[in-house]
Amino acid sequence: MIVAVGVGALQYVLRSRVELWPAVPVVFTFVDPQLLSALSLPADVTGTTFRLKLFDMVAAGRVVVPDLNQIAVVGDPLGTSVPYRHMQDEIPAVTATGLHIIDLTGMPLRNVRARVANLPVRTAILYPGMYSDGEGTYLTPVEGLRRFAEVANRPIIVTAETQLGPGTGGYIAVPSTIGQGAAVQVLSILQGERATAIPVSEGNFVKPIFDWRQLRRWGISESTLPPGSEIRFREPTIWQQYFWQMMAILAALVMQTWLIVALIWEDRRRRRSEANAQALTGELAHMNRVATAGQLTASIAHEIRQPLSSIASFGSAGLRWLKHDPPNLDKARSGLENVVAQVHRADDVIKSVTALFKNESTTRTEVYVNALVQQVLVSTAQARNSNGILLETNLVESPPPYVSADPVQLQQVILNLITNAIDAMSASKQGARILLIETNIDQDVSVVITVADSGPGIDSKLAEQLFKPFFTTKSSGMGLGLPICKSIIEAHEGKLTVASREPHGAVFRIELPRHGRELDKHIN
Amino acid sequence: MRHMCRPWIIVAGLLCSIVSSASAEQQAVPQGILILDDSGGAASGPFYRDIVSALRGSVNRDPSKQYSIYVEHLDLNRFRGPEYELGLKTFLPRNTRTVLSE
Repeated sequence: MIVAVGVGALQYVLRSRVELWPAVPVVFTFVDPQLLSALSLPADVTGTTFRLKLFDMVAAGRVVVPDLNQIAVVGDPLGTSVPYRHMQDEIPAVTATGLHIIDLTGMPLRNVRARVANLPVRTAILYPGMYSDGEGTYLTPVEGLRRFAEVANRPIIVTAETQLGPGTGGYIAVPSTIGQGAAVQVLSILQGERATAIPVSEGNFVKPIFDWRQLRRWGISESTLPPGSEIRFREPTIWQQYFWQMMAILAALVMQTWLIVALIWEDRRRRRSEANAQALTGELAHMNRVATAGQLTASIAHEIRQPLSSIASFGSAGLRWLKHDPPNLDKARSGLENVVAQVHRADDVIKSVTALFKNESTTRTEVYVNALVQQVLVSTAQARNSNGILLETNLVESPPPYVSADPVQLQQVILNLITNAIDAMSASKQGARILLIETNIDQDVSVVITVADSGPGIDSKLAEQLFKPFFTTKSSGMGLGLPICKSIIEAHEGKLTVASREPHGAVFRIELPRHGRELDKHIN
Repeated sequence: MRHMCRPWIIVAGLLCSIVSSASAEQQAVPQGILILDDSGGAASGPFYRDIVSALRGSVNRDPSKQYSIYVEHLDLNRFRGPEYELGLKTFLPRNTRTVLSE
């Protein structure tokens, strides 16, 4: 069978068929109905007609130029161009609507270019098609369109889908639908239907289609397009282009935000808990200090009584030197100076005791550990002496043991360990009672304070439990002293450990980070 | 007896002729397609190419039933007249005989 596409092909087939292809059925398409009516069709020739209307082009022109009053027609002369010959007949009806027609058909392309570059504002260009310009140069319709579209100052209404791009759009022929329409009739015949039984039909291959880029260029709103219009070459938005990537990023951001919020919330909760724990530890520490104060009452009283006795002695001596005849003023002054010195000593004792037992939070400062140990030893001197305990100290001087600590809390720990040692040795009847206090520098990074006694020692099974709250080996203890000491040392980023001492006794070891900067300052 | 046989022979002959004509008609269903269009082929741009491409794709959509398709672009916008048609008369039958005889 033969398929003729276009009126020229159909005319040729009809002329040659009898001689070349007798009795071969023919299907035609893309043939104007007016031209077809002029042909004498045999019975076994069928097909689909198709018409591009000038009215449709004008209607599209009114869409892209709402206040249209002129149309410029570019292309082959309408009267001579076979596919568009019928448009010539529509011109009177078009001009009757008030539109002025600028006829640029059949002109040389260079003239067309010059004219379309300077068209009045309320003008649309209609381009049915061009196969040769006014100088006889053969062109394809798309090529002819491109030649003048690049300089055109008004939107161009075109007739074929393949002309979109340079053309703005319009009611245009879609070639694929023309081919598919013909295929329906071809397949019917191939499947055995007789061509004579298939009537000639009118094809609907025209659709309102517009080029999105041209709509943007001419500022044409999509809302003004005819219903059912198709828009081609629309550039996808960033959102459309990267939808899944953006969704993934969004999801990651949401998860990240959720994670950050959760971490902040958790951090705040932890800080609150730490603050509460710290406050409770502070309260417990204070209670522990008050309890220790009770135990040390005798020692403190002794420490204060000593300067008081001295004051009394030096005062009495001073009075005697004043009563002397003649008064020995130098001796009296010396006595009074001693009185003042002893008052200061008593004041120091009271200050250290007050500092130890007051309940207020202090900030961390640089603490010279040896001085702190000495202050505690002063407070516990009476307790040692009354229990016959010999004190041995080995305090490192160089390098000087500085730590960054709350002095009151650190003093409390040392005091607690010393009173525990005194208590342990007081209850023991084994050998000499020796309290050994040492300070050392461990590997240049830590300050170590050791409190060792010669008491009965600690059962290795109980060593771990010593630091648990409410565990005590004393009949009168609450079991809070060592847990508080441990928590204070750990809050200072340090460690508190206990070990047995040979042949008997216990060794408590406080290890704190060395305060390097202050150390360097001290050395320099 | 001779007169009785004659109508049966006529009926049998008619039946044979009907069967043979039906068979001939079946054989007349075309299996090849010659497409002739106005364009000059690739040089004429994509419009006719798209028509032919869609036609070819639709006709041969079923892989089990494929048809021979021969396309000839007559290029009638550039060439026409008796001389051109004379050339076609020589050229086309030679090149399309196979497809149209299928």
